[in-house]
Amino acid sequence: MRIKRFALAAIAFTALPLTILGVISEYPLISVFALLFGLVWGLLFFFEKHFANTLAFIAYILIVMIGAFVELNFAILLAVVCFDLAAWNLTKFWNRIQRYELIENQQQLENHHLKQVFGVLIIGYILAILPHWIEIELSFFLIFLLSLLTFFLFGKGITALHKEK
Amino acid sequence: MKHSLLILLYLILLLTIGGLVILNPDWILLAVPLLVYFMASILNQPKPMKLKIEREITPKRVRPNIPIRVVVTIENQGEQITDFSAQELLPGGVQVKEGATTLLAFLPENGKIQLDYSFEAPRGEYRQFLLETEVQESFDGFEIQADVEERSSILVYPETEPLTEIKIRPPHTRGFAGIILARRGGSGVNFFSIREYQPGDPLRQINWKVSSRGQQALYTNVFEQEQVADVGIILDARQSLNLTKISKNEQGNRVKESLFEHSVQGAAALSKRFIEDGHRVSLLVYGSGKKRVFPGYGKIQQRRFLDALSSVKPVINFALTNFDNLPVRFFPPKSQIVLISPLLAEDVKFIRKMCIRGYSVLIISPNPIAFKSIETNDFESLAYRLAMAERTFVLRQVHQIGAQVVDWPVHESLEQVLRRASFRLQTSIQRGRVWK
Repeated sequence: MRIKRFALAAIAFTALPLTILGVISEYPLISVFALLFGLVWGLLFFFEKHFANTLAFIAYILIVMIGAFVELNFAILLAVVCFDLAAWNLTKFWNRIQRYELIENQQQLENHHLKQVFGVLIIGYILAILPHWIEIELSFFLIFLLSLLTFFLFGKGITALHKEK
Repeated sequence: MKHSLLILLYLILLLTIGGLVILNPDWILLAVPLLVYFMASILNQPKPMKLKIEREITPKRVRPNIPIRVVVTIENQGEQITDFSAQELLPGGVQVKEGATTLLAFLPENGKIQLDYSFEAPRGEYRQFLLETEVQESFDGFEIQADVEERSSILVYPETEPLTEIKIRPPHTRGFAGIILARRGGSGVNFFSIREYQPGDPLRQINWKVSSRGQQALYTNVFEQEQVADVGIILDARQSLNLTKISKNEQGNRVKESLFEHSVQGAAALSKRFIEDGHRVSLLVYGSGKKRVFPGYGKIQQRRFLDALSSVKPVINFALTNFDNLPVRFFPPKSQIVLISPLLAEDVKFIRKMCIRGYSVLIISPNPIAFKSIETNDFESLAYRLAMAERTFVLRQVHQIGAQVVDWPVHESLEQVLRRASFRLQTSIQRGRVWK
């Protein structure tokens, strides 16, 4: 039940800041969609319907992208992305828990899961918010090299994963 | 890698490339939490598990409607597993009555967990038990699955109805004392004949009336020996003769009922009775191959019978669509044969052959027409009457060639039917029709 409460809270923390931000910044459409998706996702999840989890997660990322495009508060948008990820993860985890008749060491299982998810999201939030405070000047050539390196490493990583599979 | 991680990857690419295209750094930065989540999932990939799995099933041979208990013990012999799941995949037809067959656990190093459940199953042989295990990481990106298959056979025996004595009179009996009149003089209860007194005969067996009429000789009563017999049971498992219908059980659930199931129960009940009477009994299941139990006595033989009967199924076998290939010589000559079959018109000639070879044939014939008519409650229609007339004709033909026939409407118990038929059987036996 704890996971369900956490998941519902995460859905609420995803929907409400965006709604308020939309109202404050006079973008009512963002508010309406954020609230609507939040309500639908929350209700469906509450009644154990899990088909909408991934759709709602993607929808919120798209709303956040629009929010960032119209220059809404970045720190809040970033928090929304983190809570969206948390909500997505926890709804899936709850769905998984529900599928089993017997759960052994439930406390340890849930604690470990929550620690890992929230730990990673906090790190992600900090890593994303840091560039807003720290300004470094990089030449175009360096950025180009870094981008190439990133894509190269990314490609290597994906190939390695495919091989492992 | 699971689909959810791919979705994440596409979103990261969308944010990064989109940010580069529209020159919006915020989009790229928004991808950072997703990227961290993605990397965490990759770094956190589950490692192969080292598990020791033991399964304990009790009992392995069981009567129907008695629960079988299964305890699966899983011991982690490797590193701690933070998200472990196991699911027991049971053979078809099995119904879990108590306990859990799926489990999710946090499994510490050297930790043990148990799946403890009990199930009930209809008659049959159940071999395959599959335990699906899975290790997953917290970010739902990767999983490792391993299936552990166990091949330990569980036999659910057919229901066995208790039967009282069955009157049989095979032409040939075996040397051991039993309950069948052997048409041979010796020690017994029934009077057999008189012979001249021989030294050593008990005095109480002297027939004084006959002796007084004689000149000087004494005469002794001779009684009929009672011996055991060879009984061969043939269970007809030809699919073409098997009928099924949907009926409601005691709990009101719809279940599939098969005529063959009644035949199997009949075979089990008859074998139990014959073995308890001390006969040497053998079994041949004809139709789905030629499954057989060689002649034998006693409780072990009874167990062999139930083992064989628990796994028989009606199967289409084009080589065995009629009794052409019936290996009659499998049974000792002049023994008693009990054929359990719904019977077809073309089977009559093979039964005749058996009678000619000197076997005493008793046919227990589960009535397929009554079996089907109960479903529709159709006992008046022309179709029903015609079908019954045809069947009666076949049964009469079989009776005329010297075999004993018991028509068994399967909604009645076999005991009832046999008791009703026993008078007719006895009369025929006295007339000597069975072995002529």
